[in-house]
Amino acid sequence: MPVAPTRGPEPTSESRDPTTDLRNAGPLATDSLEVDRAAIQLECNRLSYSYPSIKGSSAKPVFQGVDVKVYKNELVAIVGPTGAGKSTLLRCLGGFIQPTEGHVYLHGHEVLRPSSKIVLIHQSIATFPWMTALDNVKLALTCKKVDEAEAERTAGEMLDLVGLGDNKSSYPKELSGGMRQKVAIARALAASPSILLMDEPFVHLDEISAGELRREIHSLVFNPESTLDGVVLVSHNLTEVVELADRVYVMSGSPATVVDEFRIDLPRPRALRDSSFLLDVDHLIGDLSTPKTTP
Amino acid sequence: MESVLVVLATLATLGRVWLLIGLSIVTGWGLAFLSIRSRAFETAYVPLVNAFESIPVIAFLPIVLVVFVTRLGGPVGSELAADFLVFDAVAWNIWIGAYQSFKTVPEHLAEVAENYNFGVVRTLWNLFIPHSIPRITSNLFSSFADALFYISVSEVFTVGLHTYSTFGIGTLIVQFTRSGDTSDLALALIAIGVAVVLTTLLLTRLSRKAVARYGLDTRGEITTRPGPANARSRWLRAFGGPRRRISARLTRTAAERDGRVGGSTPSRSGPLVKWVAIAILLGLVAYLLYGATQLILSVPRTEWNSLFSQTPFLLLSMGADYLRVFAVAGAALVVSITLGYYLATHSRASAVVAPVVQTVAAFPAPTYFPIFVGATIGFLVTAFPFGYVELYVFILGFLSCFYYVFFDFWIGVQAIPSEFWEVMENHELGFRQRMRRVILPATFPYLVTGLSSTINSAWAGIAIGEFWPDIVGNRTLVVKIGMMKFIGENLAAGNVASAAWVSLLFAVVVLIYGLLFTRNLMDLARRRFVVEEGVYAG
Ligand SMILES: Nc1ncnc2c1ncn2[C@@H]1O[C@H](COP(=O)(O)OP(=O)(O)OP(=O)(O)O)[C@@H](O)[C@H]1O
Ligand SMILES: [Mg+2]
Repeated sequence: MPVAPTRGPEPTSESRDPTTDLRNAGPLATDSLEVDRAAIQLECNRLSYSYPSIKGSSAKPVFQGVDVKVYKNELVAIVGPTGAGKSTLLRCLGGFIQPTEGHVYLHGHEVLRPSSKIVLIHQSIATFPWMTALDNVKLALTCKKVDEAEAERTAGEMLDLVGLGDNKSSYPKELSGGMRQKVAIARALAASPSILLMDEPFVHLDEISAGELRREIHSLVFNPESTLDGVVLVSHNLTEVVELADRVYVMSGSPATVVDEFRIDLPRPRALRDSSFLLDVDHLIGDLSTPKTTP
Repeated sequence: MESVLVVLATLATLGRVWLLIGLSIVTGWGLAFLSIRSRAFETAYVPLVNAFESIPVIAFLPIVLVVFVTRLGGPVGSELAADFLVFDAVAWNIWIGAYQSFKTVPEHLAEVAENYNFGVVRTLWNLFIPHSIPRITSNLFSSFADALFYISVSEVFTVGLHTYSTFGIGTLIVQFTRSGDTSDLALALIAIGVAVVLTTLLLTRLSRKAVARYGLDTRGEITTRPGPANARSRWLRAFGGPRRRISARLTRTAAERDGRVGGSTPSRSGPLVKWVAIAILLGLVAYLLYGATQLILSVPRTEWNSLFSQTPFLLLSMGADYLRVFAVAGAALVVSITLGYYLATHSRASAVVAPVVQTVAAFPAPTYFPIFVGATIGFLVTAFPFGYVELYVFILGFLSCFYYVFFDFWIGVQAIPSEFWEVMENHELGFRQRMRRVILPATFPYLVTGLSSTINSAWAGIAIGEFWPDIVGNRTLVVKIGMMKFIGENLAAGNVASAAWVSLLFAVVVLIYGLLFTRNLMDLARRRFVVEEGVYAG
């Protein structure tokens, strides 16, 4: 299959970074939990979505007939060209918008509105500038009806977990982009959700911070103490996807459909320069560069 | 029916308003240019304009009377008095806009102008003026609404036994109201309605054209993301303008801090411009001193004594008015926030309600208020025999300022990034939590920047409502105690000196208040609550 380097970064670009491989095999990565393919956590059937039509133009679906499943302890990635509707799909999964057709189920119950059971981490890092890191995280606990001291303690623990223990009273503008994204992640984890939705969470970070965060994220979300049952990650970066995901959905076309579902069975921690790793990246590149048949 | 007269009068009023808006723009350019070229001028000019903006137009009335009506007299005096009041209503806003856009001319363009040795005229004409057009255009709407608000008091006023008036729809409305000529009054109100709607349409179009043609003004733009529901509402798009105005105020210091402000370095100014600036400054100061001494000398000593002895009572009256203003502004704030939040989360409702609020708000409340009073007074007098006057003053104040508060809050809500809404939904924050933790902090800068126009418009309504002779038939609306009532009664009795003295006291208080309070709030708003910094992208 021909390799089209125009889609996403080249598979080798990551491995040129000397820091990547050195810290790849952290002790953290080993305590991750195994995927349990018998237990479906989040599921959607034949999902379609059209944005309300603007006067004059007819409403054209962004995507159509999309099936996605997330098993227990599984990190599912969604890739696709820009504009394919990945972010829109993620918002449907979280209940922020209602699909035009189809339904979303979490543990068998239909998802009709956003709740703290499914938390979304944004591509653009959303921290409130007038709150300290700790207050930003505490926000996730306001609906939990825990008392102030308890909230303070939990929020502090979450910040310790993401490595921001020393920055609890900093305001977002005093933190780097990567640190802010960690605050957002701590806030998401503090809500003790079942599902974490991540929309290109690393895209605004520099390569070094992104690499570090990527290596930490899997063990951060799948550890025995975590309440998380699954993660959905949207990304443009195919190396990142192969590094993190257990399974990948490839969306393409207009309206977009799932054109490929692809399991990544590499052992963790994954070495970014292994030939099997690169083979999987190539597979995704191939998926995305097959000429689209647009009528 | 006097339809021809009504149409002519409407045209006369519109002509007057537009001419004075034009004059404000031209003088605004001149003054803005002087202030970016001369530090000394700028240091005096900017705080003064900001402070004057927060003095209600009505407070100038006695001074106007002294200068134009009693000195000049005749139809020219009345016309100039009206012109002065309208000018006062429109100028500050436009001057601030001109100054801000001159301040934010991109440096690379300013450098081009220097590189090619543009003279003063060519620099102004080719660079600064085009750059300022989008922002000034967007300020026109509120200037226009402000000017219309006062037509019924600026075109005609009574001092002692004498009524001074000049031709215009405001004068006609007062006449029709006094003579109980309802059909003509209705006609006049319709004429104003048509004028308001047409002007709104025109300004909307103009504003869009201006942005399309001259819009290199990207620094003042807030990147609006689709809000939860109605970010795409037609109503808001039509109002790209005021959003720019407000965001410009917020970003102003950012630009200054960066030191990337075009043409603001004093070393760039030619010596001529500098001297002109200083001459104008000195001229102004000299004129003010001259006017003040003239005025003081013209008042006899016994008069001074009585004025001084009245002062404690006057300060008390002023306090009463401040209480009213805060009550009105507070109520407007609560209603705006509740309504604004509801509209922001219900797109269908906002498509209907928002344009209605807009149109009603632009319609000058004093023109229809007598009708409202006529319709309700019978009931209210029996229902609230002691409080009905206060209630009317409150309502008129509310009608006058609600629009500004609502609008500022609404723009602030629209600027909240959609990510923030999603975080609020995600963590299931209730109404109170959303308000306290996210929405109020996020809209705080917008409410603060709108503060002076809000307070100002609240004052305007209260000023008119506190003393309104013959509002319905022979009934005079008058409060027990109030500074504006004092001014009104003294003018009606021909006692200009007392009225002028209160105005002066009031101006001093407003200036102090503005310098101490408003500024600090603004700084706080800029430092901590700028929502645009909340979403990090690159
Ligand atoms: N609020 C909206 N109203 C109308 N159309 C929209 C809206 N948001 C997105 N779209 C359209 O929906 C399509 C999918 O957008 P979406 O943001 O989901 O794509 P994406 O796959 O996440 O793209 P990217 O990789 O660039 O983030 C695009 O064609 C976009 O134009
Ligand atoms: Mg996206």
